[in-house]
Formats: sequence, C-alpha cells, structure tokens
Amino acid sequence: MMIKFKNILKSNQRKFFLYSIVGIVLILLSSALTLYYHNKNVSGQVATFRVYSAITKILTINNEIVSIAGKLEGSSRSIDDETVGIIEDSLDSLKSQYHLINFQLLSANFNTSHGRDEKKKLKSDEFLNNHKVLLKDINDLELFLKKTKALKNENARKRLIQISEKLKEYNNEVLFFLNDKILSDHIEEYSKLRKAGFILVFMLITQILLIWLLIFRPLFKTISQQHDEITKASLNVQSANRSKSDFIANISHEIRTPMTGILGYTAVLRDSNSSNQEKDEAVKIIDRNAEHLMGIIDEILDISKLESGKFDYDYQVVELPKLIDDVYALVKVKAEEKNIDLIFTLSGKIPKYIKIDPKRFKQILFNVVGNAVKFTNEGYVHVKVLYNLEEAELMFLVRDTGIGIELKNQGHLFKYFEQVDSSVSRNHGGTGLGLVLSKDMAEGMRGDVNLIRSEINKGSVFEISFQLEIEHELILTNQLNLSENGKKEFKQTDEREFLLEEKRIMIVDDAKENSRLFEMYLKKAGAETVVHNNGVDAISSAAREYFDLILLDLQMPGKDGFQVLKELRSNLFDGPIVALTAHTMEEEKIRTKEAGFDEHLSKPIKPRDLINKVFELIE
Amino acid sequence: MIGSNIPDKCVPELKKYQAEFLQDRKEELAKIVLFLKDHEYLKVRKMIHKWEGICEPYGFQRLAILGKELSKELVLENQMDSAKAKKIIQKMRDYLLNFNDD
Repeated sequence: MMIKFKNILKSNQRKFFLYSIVGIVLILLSSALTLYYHNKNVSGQVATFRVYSAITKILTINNEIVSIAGKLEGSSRSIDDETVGIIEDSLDSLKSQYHLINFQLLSANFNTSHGRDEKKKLKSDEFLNNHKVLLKDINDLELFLKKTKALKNENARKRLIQISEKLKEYNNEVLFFLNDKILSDHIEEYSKLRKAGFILVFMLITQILLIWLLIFRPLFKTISQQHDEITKASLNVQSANRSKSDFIANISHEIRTPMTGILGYTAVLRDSNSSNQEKDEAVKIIDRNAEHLMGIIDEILDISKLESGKFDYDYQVVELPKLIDDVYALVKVKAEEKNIDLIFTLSGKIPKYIKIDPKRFKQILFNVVGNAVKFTNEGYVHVKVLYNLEEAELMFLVRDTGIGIELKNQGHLFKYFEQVDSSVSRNHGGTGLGLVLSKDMAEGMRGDVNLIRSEINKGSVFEISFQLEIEHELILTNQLNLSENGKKEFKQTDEREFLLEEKRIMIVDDAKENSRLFEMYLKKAGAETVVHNNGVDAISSAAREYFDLILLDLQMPGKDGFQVLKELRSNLFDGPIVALTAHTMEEEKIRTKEAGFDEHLSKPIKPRDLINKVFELIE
Repeated sequence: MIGSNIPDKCVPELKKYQAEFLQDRKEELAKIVLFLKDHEYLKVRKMIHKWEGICEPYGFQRLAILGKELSKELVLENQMDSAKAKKIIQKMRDYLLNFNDD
C-alpha cells in the first residue's frame, strides 16, 4: 500500500513539475512577445521624436541665417568678421544637423513607420530629396566662403541672400511636412496604443488560463486523486481489519471444535471406568480431530510461507491418472455422504506422466473439487480433464450443481481472509482460505485457478490450469482408471452426459416436436441450445451470436435448408452444419454433401447417434 | 395395450408439451381420415412417418406402434384392408382421447 502511495506521489510530483515548467515557459514567452511589441512601438516613437528635435534645430538655425541675411539685405555695408564667424558656425551646425536628420530619415524605424502608407512614403521621399539638394547648397556655400575667405564683397552677400531664400522655402516645406506628419503619426500611435491595450488584456487572460490549466488544475486533480486513494486505502484497511477479525473468530472456532473433541475424549481415556471399546472409539476421534487441526495449521502456515515468499515446490515426474485418482478417492467419501454424484471424465487424451509438485497439485485439486462437493447439496460435481497438446496446458473444469455464488461476492473469492460470507463458514465449515491458497500455489507452478461462471442455486464452474514442462517423452493416455479407495473399480458415468458441455448449438426445424426432441437430447449432453423454426430467424441469429454447430432441417416453408445453408456460408457461419431430413435415400445424402453440408442425419435420430455425430463434428 | 405392459408416460423433460402434443396429433388424425377417404396415401404416409419418429421418444410408445401398423397397411395402398386401417385409426382416436398418465 505504501509503495503504491509513494508511486502515485512520485508520478504526481513529476507531472506537476513538468506542467509547471511548461506553464512558466509559455507565460515567459507570451510576456516576451508583449514586451517586444511594446518596445517596437516605443522605438518608433523615439525615432520620430529625434527627427522632430533635429528639424526644430534646423528651423532655429535657418531662422538665424534668414535673420542675418535680412539684415545684410537691408544694409549696404559689408559684413564684419564677427558676423562671418557667426554665419560659418551656423553653417557648420546646420550641416551636422542635416546629417543627423539624414541619418534619422534613412533609419529603418522612420521608414518602416511610414512604409505601409504609399502616399506618406512618397511625401517622405520628396522631403528627403529636397533635403539632399539643400545639403548640396550648404556645401557649395561653405566652399564659396572658404574661397572668398570672407563675406565682405557684394557677391558673397548676394549668394548668402539667395541661400537664405532657399532656406525660407525649405522652412515652409518642413513646416507643412511636420504638420502633416505629426497628425498622421499621432493617429497611428493612438491606433497602436489601442491595439496594444487589447493585446495586453488578451495576454493577461491567456496567462491566467495557462496558470489554471497547467498549474492549479493538475494540482487540484492530484490532491483529489490522493484524497480518493487515501479514502479507499482507509476503507480497505478497515475492511481488511474486519476480515481479519472475522477470520480470527472463525479460525478460533475451527481450532476450538477439534480441540474440544480431543480434550473431551482424553478425559474418556483417563477414566478408569471406560471400557476398551469406548477407549478405542476415543482414540479414533482424537486421531481424526488432531488430523483436522493439523490441516488448519498447515493452511495457516502455507499462507505465511506464500506471503513471505518462502514457499518451495518439490517438482517430480509423477503419474497424472494416479494423482487424479488420489484426489478422487479423498473427495468421493464426502460426495457419498451427501449423496451427490462425483464424476471425472476425460476430453481427449492427457499426458500419463507430468513434472509437478504432487503434494501441492493434489492440494489444489482437492481444495477446488472438495469445495464443489461442500457447496452442492443435490445433483453432481463433474470434473472434466483436458490437455492442449500444442500449448502443453493441462486443464480441469470443475462444474457443480450447488448453491452458486452471488455476483457481488465473486470478487472476494480469491482474497485472503474474505470468505464469501461469514455465515458460509458457520454452515459449511472451513477457514475460507482453500481457494485463495490454491490460486497462489497454482500460480507458483505456472498455473491458475479461476471462476468461470456461477449462478445462484444453479451451480458454479471453476477452471484449474497448469502450463506443463514436458522434459521427458510425452506418453498420452485416455484412461483415468479411477478406483474407489484403491479397491473397488469405479463405475464411470456415461461420458455422453457431458460430452457437449460448453457447446452452443442452433436447431432449425419447422416441426416443433422435432426441435423439442433435439433440444432435450443436446441439453442432456450439456449443450446450450437455441431453437428457430424458420430459416430467416436462423440466419439473423447466426449473424449475431456464436454457435459451435447448426442442425438444419431441409424441408421448411419459406427458405428451405439449402437456401439457408447458402446464406450461412456467405461469411456468416463457417462451423459444421448438419442436414436433418426425413429421407434416407443415398441420393439425398449425396445432394446434401454436394451442397456443402458437413453431415446428413435422417429423422428419426437416436439420441446417442445425434450426440456422437455432433461431438465428432465439433471436435 | 399393444406390445407392452408398461403404461405410456411422457418423458419428464417434455411433459410441459404433452397437452399440445396430443392435441396436434388429434388434429393430424382428423386429416389422416380425410386423406384416406380421398385415397391420398402419400400424404398419410408422410404424416405417419413423422408419428413414428416423434411418438416413441416423447414416451407415447403405443401410438408409435399403432403408427407402424398403419404404415404396413399403407404400403399396400389399393389392396389396403380398409377395415383394418379403420380399426387402427379408431384405436389411435381412443388412445388420444383417453390418454392419462397421472
């Protein structure tokens, strides 16, 4: 139980760790995406502000030059050295600002931000071209100033005035452009801000969902699962404790009963007044009770060994029919006491010698068959022995007509300390350990014990199987040679009674008297039957259910036997189909054979012939 | 009783169908009489063949024996002893009317 809990805890820890990592990675990714988008917007804005700042500076410098040029234009005197210096400095500053603007305008941010709008892009390109022309003019003026050394002559003054005119025009252009650009940029920024708002809200909701899905939900699930497991475990512990208490109460009763007998009859032995006959009887009773007590102690010790893994098997090559006979002789006494039939039959051949632990093998067979006898008050216990040559599997099908086991109790059959009902042990005796011990022991010898089916007041079918290791030469036998207490020959029951056990047969005959007769014969042989009085129902039934064989009357109203056969053979049924007919003529037999029937039976049919033929065809 | 001193008894597994079985045979017997009148021997033989097959396994041995006797007569067809056949049919009718295995 603890190991199971630890495993669950470990698995949940791993799951939780993995989900948390995935969750955190996804949240980080979504946060990074949001930041990247936001940063991109901010970078665009910064670039635009830089351009604005450069343009503002240009305007200031331009104004300064224009103001100087205005002054020069108004006066006739030549420019003094100080003014020339100021103009030269202004031109230098102007040039560097133009370069900066050039750089900013050409930068990706500025271009990209306008790239989507073709009209704006054209305007921006025009602005850049003008800007380049102006920069050339400024360079020319600089060269001119250098050449003339000073702006003292008339030509220089005129040139300066020309440039200032150009700058005026440029100023106006810049102002228009700026006005336009600021407006469009602001609209765009607002739209981006709105988008960013939506994206932020979306990301927030996504992150909350991710946190719930990947962290809180698994956590909640894990906690619920652990809570369920703990509750279940607690209930199991309570149930196990109750079962153990019941078991102890039962086992004390089981031990006390023979002990009372032993103590009571020991007193008879001690009593000097007891006759020899009384003393002999007392010894017998003490002996029987001691043996019974020993059996109980052995079972408890076996459980202890099995639970601690110290159970050893002593494999030997032994004669299988002899082992079966030993068990038969032991159980037969009980069956006779209860006046029920104990029948052992063979289906096919079984190995004469097998390698197995004979003591444990007998113990398993005795427990299962003994149980069947114990819980059967009338009818029979039938043990069918089979051997699958291909898979080297030895099988015992133990069928009884006993009290049966309720469906809700079938799951407790193979659990320690959980006899189906504590009242069962009171009514029938026993520790309730036999079946579970047998299953565990069989598993230890590459075998198993299972309940195949059970119905209240109808009986049960158990299966014991062993996977055999055939090391020696395989000798098969079809003889059980059962004896009674090793002395009298056992009068074997007619095998035909159980020959068709577990087989499903469909009877199709429009004459109800016939179908009822066949049904009776087949049921007596243990078969399960389904009767139809027309071909259409037979075809539909074959499409839905499994059958081992079909008995089909040839003369029926509607679809006759041949038509039904044809439809059955078209992918509905590939098992044996037997033609039933009132004719005995050889021609009829040939006709049915040619049509595809596996066998032809003429009515009236003797039960033995019918059973033998059906068995032969199925096998 | 013909051929047996043991009284007829329906087999226990088919006891639940006994009344239905006897009623069906009564109806078939009426048909047999009509077929005989019309000399439709083949139809009578088919019915009697069925009786032979089912009466004995159901436990009505005497009825099966009567069926066999009638079959023998039917083989002769045109040379059939009608008086004998009528006698057998009367026995069958009596059997079906008076059957009681309680």
